Amino acid sequence: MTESRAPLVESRDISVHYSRWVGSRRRTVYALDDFSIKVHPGETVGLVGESGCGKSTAGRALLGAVSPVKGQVLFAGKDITHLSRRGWRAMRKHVQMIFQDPYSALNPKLKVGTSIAEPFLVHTQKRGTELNAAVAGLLETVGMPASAANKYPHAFSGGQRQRIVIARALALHPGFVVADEATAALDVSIQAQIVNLLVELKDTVGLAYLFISHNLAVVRHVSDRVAIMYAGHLMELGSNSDVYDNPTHPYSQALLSAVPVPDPTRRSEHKPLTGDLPSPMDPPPGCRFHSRCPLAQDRCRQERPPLTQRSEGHYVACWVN
Amino acid sequence: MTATHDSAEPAPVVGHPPDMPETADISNDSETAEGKVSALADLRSHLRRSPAGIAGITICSLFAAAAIIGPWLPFLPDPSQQSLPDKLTPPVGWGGTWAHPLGTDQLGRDIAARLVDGARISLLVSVAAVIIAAILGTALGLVAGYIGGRLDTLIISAADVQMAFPGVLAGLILVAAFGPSVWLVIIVIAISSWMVFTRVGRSLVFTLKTSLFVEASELAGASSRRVMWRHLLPNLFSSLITLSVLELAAAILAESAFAFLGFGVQPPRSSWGLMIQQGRNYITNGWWIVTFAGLAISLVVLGVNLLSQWLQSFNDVAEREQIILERPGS
Amino acid sequence: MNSASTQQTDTGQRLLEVKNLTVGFPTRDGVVLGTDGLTLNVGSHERLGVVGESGSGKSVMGLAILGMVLPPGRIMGGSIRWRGEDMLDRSVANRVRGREIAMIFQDPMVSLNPLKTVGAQLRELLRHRAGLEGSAVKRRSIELLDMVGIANPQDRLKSYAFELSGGMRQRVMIATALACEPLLLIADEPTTGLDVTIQDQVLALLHDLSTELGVSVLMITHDLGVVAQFCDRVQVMYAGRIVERAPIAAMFADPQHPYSMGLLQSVPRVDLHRSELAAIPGEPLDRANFPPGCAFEPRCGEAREICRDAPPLLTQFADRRWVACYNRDPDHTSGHTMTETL
Repeated sequence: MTESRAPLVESRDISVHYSRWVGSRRRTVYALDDFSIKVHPGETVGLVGESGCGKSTAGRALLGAVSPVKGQVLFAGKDITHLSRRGWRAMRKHVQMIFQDPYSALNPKLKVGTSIAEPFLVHTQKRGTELNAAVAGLLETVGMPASAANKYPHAFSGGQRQRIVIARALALHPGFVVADEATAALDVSIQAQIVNLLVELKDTVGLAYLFISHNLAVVRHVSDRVAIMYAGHLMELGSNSDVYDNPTHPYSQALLSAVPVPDPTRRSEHKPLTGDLPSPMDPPPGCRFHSRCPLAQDRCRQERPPLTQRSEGHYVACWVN
Repeated sequence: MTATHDSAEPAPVVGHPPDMPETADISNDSETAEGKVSALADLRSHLRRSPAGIAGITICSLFAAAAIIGPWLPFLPDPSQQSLPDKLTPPVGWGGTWAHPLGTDQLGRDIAARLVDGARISLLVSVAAVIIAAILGTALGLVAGYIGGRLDTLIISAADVQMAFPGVLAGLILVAAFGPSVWLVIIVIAISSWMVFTRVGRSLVFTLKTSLFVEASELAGASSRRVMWRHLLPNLFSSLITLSVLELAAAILAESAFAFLGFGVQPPRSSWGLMIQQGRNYITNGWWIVTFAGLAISLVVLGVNLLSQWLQSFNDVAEREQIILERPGS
Repeated sequence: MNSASTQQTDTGQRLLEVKNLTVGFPTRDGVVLGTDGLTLNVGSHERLGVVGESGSGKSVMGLAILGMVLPPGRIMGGSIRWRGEDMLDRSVANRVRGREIAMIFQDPMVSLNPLKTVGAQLRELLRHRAGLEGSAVKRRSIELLDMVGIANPQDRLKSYAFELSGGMRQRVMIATALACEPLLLIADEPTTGLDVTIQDQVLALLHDLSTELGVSVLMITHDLGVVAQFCDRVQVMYAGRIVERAPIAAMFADPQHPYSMGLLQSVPRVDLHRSELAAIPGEPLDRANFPPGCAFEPRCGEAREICRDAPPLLTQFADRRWVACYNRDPDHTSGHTMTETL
């Protein structure tokens, strides 16, 4: 679909492992393995999966908040994997993040305006009235009155706070924003407002998003392309319609049918997937989904299936389907 | 669903949401004015319901007022004025006169005046010591908690060593080296309580630094200094102020102890600890000297403790109600 | 007009009848109401859904039914009757709670003791609440764990809560809730913290168990999908009041209250593509600052003068369908549910 254009952000086979003490033993957590993705300018890539699938780790790796043990992260063609602290500070202008919990994402002791102004104070020479005007402009962009700048976060509801968090992320006109469960903490009626705002900003400001979420319905709504992850592996990647209308990986199929549809005339009669999510400290060999897969064969238990292209831009990692 | 249309219930009607003061949009000039206004209003309404808090504040205010304006009070004689013919006059009610309401000491000095003078020293030493300890301790706690690593190990080991080292012994060594003085007492008390602030500050920073707003600031490219100064420190304030008040009580006691041991303020200036030390020789024929000095110490320490306890409960309640109102778990 | 008391149960025999329930939380600035004149009935063999957003009072309602509102919150008015008995009577509530009505929560860690094994907790429960003794206790424990789909129940009895995954914990909680064979299970966001595929398992389990054991379920949730897939009947809450009540198919096909309509249009759907989400404008109200009229009025596109004056009553307008909106009921007179019926 957009494969021909140069990607804005790209990861090439990155793996993130870290160690953690469990009782008296030091265990390796295999958070992410050989993860490759491209995000093109102005594009929204949805990253879905259940807890422990590595989607948040992937987002943080693209922002340099965690360093991969192998692989490369590129921004506009430049390798930023091993950037120095100073190098990353400069990169911060171009890449930003929107968080899940708008309640803890704003410093309760700082006025909203001061929080939004922080990127300007750190990176630019804007001060005084010029700074105030910039803050007011950002608030307007996210649909908040300029007077909000003089209030403290506790005066605002969750949805309003999320707007403020978005305003802060947009301060320095980043090209790429990682939205990590950006609507998960919000009520349905507010979630729709924020989703609409994010979609609108994509067009007006020209943003590219990595939209990380466990909510498959929201991802369907916002994404151009969708990646489905399971236990640190990418299982399926394709255009929105590839993945939602023609899910090919058995996990994608199971995941999509497990979502309760808000329509009582479509009560699904599917059989729920059995078993639990594997521990990232002890991932199954071969295809990580084999332990719960209804189609698993011997090969799936031994060899990891590569991500292969099934149609233009539609990749699936499965030996069977 | 307010109680507004609910006449059956005696409950007060909610006028405006407590977390949205009417003053919310008037303060463009000062950054924290709005926060102060609402916090003060909350503080006052919480105080009205707490007799212990009122008692604590009253005692502390009287103590501070006595210390600050005491020397200018017209009815108090000069605390160092001796008058041997009047020595060991008992207080009013035990055969004394209103010339010396609390009696006189072994040199005929007025006890009431000496208590007020002693309050000055007590306040000066304890407040100065706590301020020094709080600044030093909090700064170290911030660095230890936020930067972590070897610096953390170093600072926290130093705090542990200090914790285990008796303050009186440190005082003795320093007095032996430099001779007794008020400033020395301040320094000794400060260095024997900084680690309390370090430990509390550090543990608070540990929880705070995982907050998303800290991560957001780091992702915006803010320096460590900026994160500590603008994001962490303001969130430590309420806890550290409560802690400071608590430490104030300990410092007042420590000052008295040092004065009693003769390390601190020297005669003819007065101090409660010094009064007890000198008065104990006259305990049989002048019980009032030690009694009033001892009472003054107990009362002020009690007042300060009440104040700190009330501040603590205020913080807890404020936090709890904030949670109820902001994040009603549906 | 006494709409609340003339209301009929919608299915089967009436188990739970809640009338004009008002729960308040005193704060420094006055009483904040968690629910305001709430009325509901649960019949036997029924799955009733209660949907609402945060602050709608749906969880407070669940706790109030079992007499578990945490102080300083308290029930300030109304009645709760369980099979004809007064649940506000402490001795009745103590007898019924955990036996005839059980409750499960979003976070199983809250109700499972971290220091005791699953077996020990079940044993205690079965001895003291269900009155079992001897070898029957162990047999029943295993049976319960098996019933909620836990593999190797014998071994799992020796596990502690922290050793189990989120889905397993929720299963154990369901097992403890069902230990005394309740007639009603109150499930407060039972799948909210769970992953999609695990939520799917737990919902299927609850559905099967409620059918097999004939347990009624009061499903409290914010997820319209869960309601659509699970419930027979649904009521929508906004700001402590019920704004609409309907059989499940009718609610989704033909919602009447502007809030219900807005809610249905604002959810993104996984099964079809929507070009734009119709978000409900504005913000949920601050709990301490509700207007005297309809609480939804500030966000409502159809609001009129009358909506600002007094809250509309929940009135029946068709078979088994109730709505609290002036625009859906031309002869609707203004008034407040609670003062009307008290």
